[in-house]
Amino acid sequence: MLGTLLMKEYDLDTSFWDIAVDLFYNLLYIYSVSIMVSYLSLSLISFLAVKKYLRKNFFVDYKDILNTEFAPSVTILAPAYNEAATIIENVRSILSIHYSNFEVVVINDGSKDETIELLIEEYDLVKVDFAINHELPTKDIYGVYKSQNEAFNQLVVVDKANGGKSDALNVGINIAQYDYVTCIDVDCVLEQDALLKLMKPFMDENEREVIATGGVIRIANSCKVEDGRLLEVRVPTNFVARSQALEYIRAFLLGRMAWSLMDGLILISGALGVFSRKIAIEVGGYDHKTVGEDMELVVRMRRYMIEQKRNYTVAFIPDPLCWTECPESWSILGRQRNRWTRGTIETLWKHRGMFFNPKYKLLGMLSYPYWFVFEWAAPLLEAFGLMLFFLLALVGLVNWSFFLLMMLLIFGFTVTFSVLSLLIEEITYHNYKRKRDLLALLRTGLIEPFIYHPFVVYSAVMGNLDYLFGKSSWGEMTRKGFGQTATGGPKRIRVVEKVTPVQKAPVVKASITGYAAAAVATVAIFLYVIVDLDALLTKNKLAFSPTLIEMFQPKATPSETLIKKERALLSRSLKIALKSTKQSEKERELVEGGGPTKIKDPDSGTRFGEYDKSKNQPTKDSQKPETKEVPKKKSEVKKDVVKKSSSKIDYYIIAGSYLEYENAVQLRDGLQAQGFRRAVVVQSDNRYRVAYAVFDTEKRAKDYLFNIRLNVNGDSWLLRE
Amino acid sequence: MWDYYLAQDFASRFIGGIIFILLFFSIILLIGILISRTVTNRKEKKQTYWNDRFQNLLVKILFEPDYAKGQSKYQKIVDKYNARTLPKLVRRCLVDNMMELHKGVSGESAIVLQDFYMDVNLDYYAKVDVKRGAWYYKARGFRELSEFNDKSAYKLIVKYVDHDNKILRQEAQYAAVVLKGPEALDFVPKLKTPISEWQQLVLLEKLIKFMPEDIPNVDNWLLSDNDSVIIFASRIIAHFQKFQSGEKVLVHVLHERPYVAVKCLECIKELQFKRGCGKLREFYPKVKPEVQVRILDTLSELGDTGDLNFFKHEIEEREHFDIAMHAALALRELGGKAILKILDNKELKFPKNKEIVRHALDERI
Repeated sequence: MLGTLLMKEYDLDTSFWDIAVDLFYNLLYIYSVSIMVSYLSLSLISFLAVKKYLRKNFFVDYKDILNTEFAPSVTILAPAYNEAATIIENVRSILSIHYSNFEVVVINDGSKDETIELLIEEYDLVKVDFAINHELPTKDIYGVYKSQNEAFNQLVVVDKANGGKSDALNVGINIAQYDYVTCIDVDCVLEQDALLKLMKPFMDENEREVIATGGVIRIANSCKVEDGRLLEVRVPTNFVARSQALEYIRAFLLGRMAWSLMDGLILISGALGVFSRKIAIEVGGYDHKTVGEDMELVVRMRRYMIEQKRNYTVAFIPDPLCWTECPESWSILGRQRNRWTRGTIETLWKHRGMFFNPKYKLLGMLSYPYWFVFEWAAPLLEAFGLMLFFLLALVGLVNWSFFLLMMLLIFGFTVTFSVLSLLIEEITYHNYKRKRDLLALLRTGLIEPFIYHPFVVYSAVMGNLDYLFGKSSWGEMTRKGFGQTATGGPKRIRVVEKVTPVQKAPVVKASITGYAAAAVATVAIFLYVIVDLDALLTKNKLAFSPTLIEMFQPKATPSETLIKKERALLSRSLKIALKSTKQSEKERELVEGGGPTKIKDPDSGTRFGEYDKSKNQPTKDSQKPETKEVPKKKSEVKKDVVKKSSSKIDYYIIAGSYLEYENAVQLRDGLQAQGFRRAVVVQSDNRYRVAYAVFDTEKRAKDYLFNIRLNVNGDSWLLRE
Repeated sequence: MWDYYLAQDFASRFIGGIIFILLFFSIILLIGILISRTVTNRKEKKQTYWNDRFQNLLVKILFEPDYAKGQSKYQKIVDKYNARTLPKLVRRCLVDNMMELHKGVSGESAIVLQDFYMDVNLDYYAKVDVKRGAWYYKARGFRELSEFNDKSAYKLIVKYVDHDNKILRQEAQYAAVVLKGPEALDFVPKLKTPISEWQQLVLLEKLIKFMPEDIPNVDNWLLSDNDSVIIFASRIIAHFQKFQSGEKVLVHVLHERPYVAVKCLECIKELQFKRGCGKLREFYPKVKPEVQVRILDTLSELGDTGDLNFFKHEIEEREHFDIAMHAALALRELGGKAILKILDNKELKFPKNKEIVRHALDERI
């Protein structure tokens, strides 16, 4: 229709060439409009899908699965390359993940640093005669290590020749002894219940075989991360990172969820995904030859299932499960996007037989063509549009007023799309609670089309060229780590390269082709919007640095909420108790009698006490009225009194909570018999809580809690007073 | 302005129109964000306020004698927080707090909360949800009424245990089991819909607190056409050590779906059903490799030294990695280390199996 209307401008003598060019531009015009429509449709579907997911999972208590012996076992695969700086913390964090049956396989992919040595030393590893079923071909394995420490018996470490991430993951799949494998980037911050949520679809689907599940990845730059826990979500202060944060929201919240609902998802982020080990082996594991191995594997698995005529699905969890650090420098971002583009091309080329092939149903008729037309071709068309625009501008054929109109249109669509994604994020997860964070994202949505997006397009075009010229490397990636970003604001990893923003979109037109050239420009600019989603198709799998996991998700588990309440209760009662102490010394009761006991503390950060069992009286300096704990040696007691009066915070590692005093004492005695000589009973209101120990520094308390959870009781918790 | 617009050519008008729509849409979206944020923040503020208030209130009711049922202070609270007088948000806050607290208490305290729930008429709204609400309100109502042990709601709930809506039926099954305990399991053999693995675990978690004698006989479930019912039955049998059902579970080792066979073997192992070892040896050649692996695994725990030669034979003659591995581990478990050492020093038909033998000999693994 547009074509016909546009043609009205030309006289009947218009040449065939003019008509052809006009038709071409009009096709591009339609292409652009279809992109707009497809994006808006995907957004709508995604929003509905997320709402549905939230409603369906409103009732789920993930603790049910956490505590049961029947939960399916999972092998967590963590490839590591030159991760010496953070590997110890990262592995410890993975080991502390909330799940009942799992093993962790760390694959040292020929690191040049001390990664393997550090692991051996820290986790008391020894080389063992581990038989490996080489179902997937891999590079040489130098050795398999197991810990001699019972506490780490879920840990297996493999030392192998360098072969890339795909090769390392294939080794992990070979070694895994369980039916499901989780592939993670060791340097991401995982939500503690990430594995529980990812495993649920495998257990909750009856009719179809779930072959893989993926989760939402979010940007952790500038977020408050401490001890591998995400304490507060913040928007990155760095512009490049902030643009990616917005891009990730658009891609994950508005893109993948829609594809998941239509069962057409063909990419699961390599930073976090669970796969059926059996199917992964049947299809031949990760492809060594591609740099987009995560997407390629999912496409191959789906293709295989269709060819086998098996009823299957790929699930997607819209909850933010994994927080990752994204590049903050243009050069690293460029390399990353270049690689993602090459990965996309490799995958599309390898599976070209599916293109509009009805045999592959939705995968062949919609998913693949969509990727081909709107994801791979988009940046190329955009670049083409730009070049054409410059060419036309040079020869003076640009209709500038129309150009400005087109610019407004594209800009308007881009901004609308960003605002829409923010609205959906706001309604569903409301992660960015601070007003300034929201404003920063909105601001970025206005600026990004002129600076960030052209760079991404440029990188994608370079990726296409590199692919043509046979480049197949990953390119070096650097991350600065969460430690530095936690509170200190933006510290750039590298000097930001000077990037000349690509001129605003292409636009067009002059005499002959009428509005046609404008169509190219439209395409070019419309594609601004589009490439975003595509970019994330290939997720992020850089060899970045630091920290990991282990975090509380109080809302997720009712018992933890209860703990919160208990803490509040205890806190309140302690305050009351402190007041009442001033009034009456009698209220200072000791927990029980017996001979005087002195407890020696090797740990300077811990406070201890003493008490006289025979008299069943507190020693004169025993303090903490209602918090009945073992009193201290005289010298220590004095110190403690000072601490209390100076309102210093105490940290209790609680083992159990009882209404009956006898039960608490029983537990305390049991703990003391087990070697927890610092165990005390703490009373508040009508409850008696047993603490393993009391600390006056949060760090020590957390370290202690970590060890207790790992080795003794996963349900222990920290009480801060 | 309008005249100027009309004076433009079609394409310009078309694009201009879209720009206007986008602009309008963006403004609407921005307002949407503002409204959403304002509403969310206000809601959170209110929730925080009411949460604090209700937590204190509930603690008083639970622990302070002055606030015990029958006391005037208790009655005052009941009158003040009668659900019929409370705004919806406040009522939800109260219910949520009560549910959280209820999950963490038992015995007398739980009963106090249940009584309070009824006294302030919160059950009325839950029942209205169950009767008239959308599926998610119904599901929420099930959860609420079962948490507060409102047995009168059982009839309302049990109608949904085989409902087409998966969430609704799962919640109804859960609520039925919570309200009536193992007795409610009558619905299981009649189910036309499968019980997902997840749902089985959720129900098992609720059943665990009961004594084995409270659990009904599930032998007839094992005859069901619904595979998920067979698996659920085998799990119940295993968990409650219903030894007498062992023979019936054993039959399913020959089930056409290896998955069902594997789950039944897990049950046999958990049951320590040694009597079934003979049958397992008999079934072994007839089943698929993944089931054979599980049989080896089961025999490693239930078998005896008479099986050692069988394991040795499997190591020597089978190329299948998992079968050889499980045979070797079974040998180790049943005291066949000497045989493993012999195999280690011997030329094996499949050299790979030597690695497996060494793996089994390495006790550090």
